[in-house]
Amino acid sequence: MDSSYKYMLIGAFATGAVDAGLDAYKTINPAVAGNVIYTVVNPALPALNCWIADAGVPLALYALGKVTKKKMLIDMAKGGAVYGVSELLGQTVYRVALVAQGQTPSYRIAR
Amino acid sequence: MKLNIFKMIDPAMQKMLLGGLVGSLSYYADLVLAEQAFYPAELKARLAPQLPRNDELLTSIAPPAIMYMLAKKKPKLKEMAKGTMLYSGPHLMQRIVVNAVTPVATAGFRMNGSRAMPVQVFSQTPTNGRIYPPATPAPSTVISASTGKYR
Repeated sequence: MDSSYKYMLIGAFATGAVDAGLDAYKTINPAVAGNVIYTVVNPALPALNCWIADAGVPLALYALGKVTKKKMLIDMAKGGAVYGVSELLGQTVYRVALVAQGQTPSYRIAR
Repeated sequence: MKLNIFKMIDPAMQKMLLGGLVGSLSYYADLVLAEQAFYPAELKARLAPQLPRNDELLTSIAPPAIMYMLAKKKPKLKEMAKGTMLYSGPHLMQRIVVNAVTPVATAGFRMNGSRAMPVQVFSQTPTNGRIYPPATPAPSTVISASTGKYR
């Protein structure tokens, strides 16, 4: 495994860990569902916590890599972006499909 | 002026993104199929309460495995296989973590981390009468007006 791909995997897992952490926190404390970070602007779009994890973490890593001029962080941001973009697009397609059928995506995704 | 973001990304990254989308769309397509009546019940079952459903495990493990097998025959698919792995690996971890903290999986554990009393304790049949002594009524503090000094 080349070092670039290794850092991409680390970045993807870091993004996934933030995503898992935010989802798990809501599962443990259902009372925080009304918190601003779990806001659903439109039922056909992912919740704000998904945007924070899947878009925010890769962007933060990229910005940090540019500021510190470290290629390692840029590679991590690329890995996080592959995970984040795929997750956001996949979830949007899924939510749009459910909304088009008149179902509530938040219930199905929380299963 | 045309703004094509996809063309701004280098070709290797483009293939990785496509690979990630293969993993993502196969996972979410399965979720949509799982709502249909013909979907087999075995795939909806779980090996353990802490684990995601069998179909979720399958759609997280199979795409990168298949892509890596295809990449051995067609080296052009190697980058796509890497991209599928970049999505499916962390996503499987995410699903396992979220499932592991669901109330069903954590039954018997309290929120503060201490172990709650197992459910079996309450369902045991007592062998020697009662487990707990019968509740005795609190002594009455009302003094009858018909007795004592102040009648």
